[in-house]
Amino acid sequence: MTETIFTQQEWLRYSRHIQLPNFGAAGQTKLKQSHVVIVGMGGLGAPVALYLAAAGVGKFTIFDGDTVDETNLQRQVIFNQNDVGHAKALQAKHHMLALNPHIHIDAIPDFFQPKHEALIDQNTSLVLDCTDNFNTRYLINDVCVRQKVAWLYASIHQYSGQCALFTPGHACFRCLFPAPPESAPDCNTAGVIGVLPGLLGLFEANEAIKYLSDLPLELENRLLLFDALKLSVQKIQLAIDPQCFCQTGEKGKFSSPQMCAEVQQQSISVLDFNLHRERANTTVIDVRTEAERLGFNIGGQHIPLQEILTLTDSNNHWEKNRQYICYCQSGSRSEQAAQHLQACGLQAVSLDGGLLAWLKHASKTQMLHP
Amino acid sequence: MNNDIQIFYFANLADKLNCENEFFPLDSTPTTLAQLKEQLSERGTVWHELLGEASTRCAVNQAIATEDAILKRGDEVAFFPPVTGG
Repeated sequence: MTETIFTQQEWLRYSRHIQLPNFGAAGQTKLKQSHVVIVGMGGLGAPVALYLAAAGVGKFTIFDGDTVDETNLQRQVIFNQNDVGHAKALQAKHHMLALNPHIHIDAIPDFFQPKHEALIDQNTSLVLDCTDNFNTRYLINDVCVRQKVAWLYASIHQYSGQCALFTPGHACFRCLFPAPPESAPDCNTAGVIGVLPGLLGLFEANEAIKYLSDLPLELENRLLLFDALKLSVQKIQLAIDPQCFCQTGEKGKFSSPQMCAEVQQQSISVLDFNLHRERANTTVIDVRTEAERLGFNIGGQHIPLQEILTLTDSNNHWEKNRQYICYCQSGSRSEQAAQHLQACGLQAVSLDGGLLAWLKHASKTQMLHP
Repeated sequence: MNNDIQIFYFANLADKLNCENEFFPLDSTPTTLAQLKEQLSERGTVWHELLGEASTRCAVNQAIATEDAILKRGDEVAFFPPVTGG
């Protein structure tokens, strides 16, 4: 036998691709000779990594600086209970190789940053954005524009998803979104139905396989808008913005935007919360919705945020020398509540990271009962 | 119906405006996208703020459009924000 591209085992493994009309041995060979970079190993990255590994993409570089967390398991299907607390990039590599030992993976347990720019070059076939923030998306975009490498964008919010393929010579991500969203979603709106990142990740993986194997592309220079409730899809044709940095070479004011973080002031840690809550002059307030309150709570009075926001400083049910500690699911609504109470002349703080932070702390210290 | 365009609102725009899609009469011809946004913004603060946000983008007949795009009856207009989760 002469030397072949595929081993006996691989040829059997990929037979359903090789027998697929318009894909065949040529398509499978292109996949094997591809090098993809996956940025982010979360809800989007999990299905992308699993399906592209199974499909036989030859080489991967995967980034994620985070560790697996209990709340990830609701949607990040590459991980299991045993991975909790371990580095996402390393665990993902482990599971991808268990699925397909014929591939090569460089796992980088770090967030994608400007220092990693050199890892994307002319040998990179495609970059897949599986991140959850605009800073990293702008960075991926800028690197890919400079290196003339194609990249896939996907993103989700509640029941909505977006996906687009940006290729050299067409509109870039900054042409589409020159400005980041003005407000970060609060903890009430940051929830997500678990299958939605799965669906969008598979739109990305599908487009990636077509791009890598030279099949016709549907999302090149187009933005897919997907609604998981109505199962509706719109595809928007994109256009180059002549003012965009990809045309002028000058980056706008959003080269390194600060967005999603600068909200937490006037908040207290879980440790302080546990200390303060027992004090006689302290009242804990759960500002979440009725449904959330009934679902689970850690005590305190229940006053939903909307009700707190109607409070005016003339209201006499509140005591000026009492400390009010507000909590919600992840700390954003309670921050709003605490700010409003302060504006009404009351002493109020918010539990930093909310009920989620409290639960994580409790599960670490094995004190699950409030 | 004759002068109507159809407008779609995506993601949190649909939530915050409490409207997923609607038919909207064009009161003068030609109407630009900027003028349509002005007319919609008269509905209240939340409309004014959301449609005025720099990050809110707009497509006419499934193609990204700029403020000077001229609308004609039967056109399909879509407003959508960037979404950030993953």
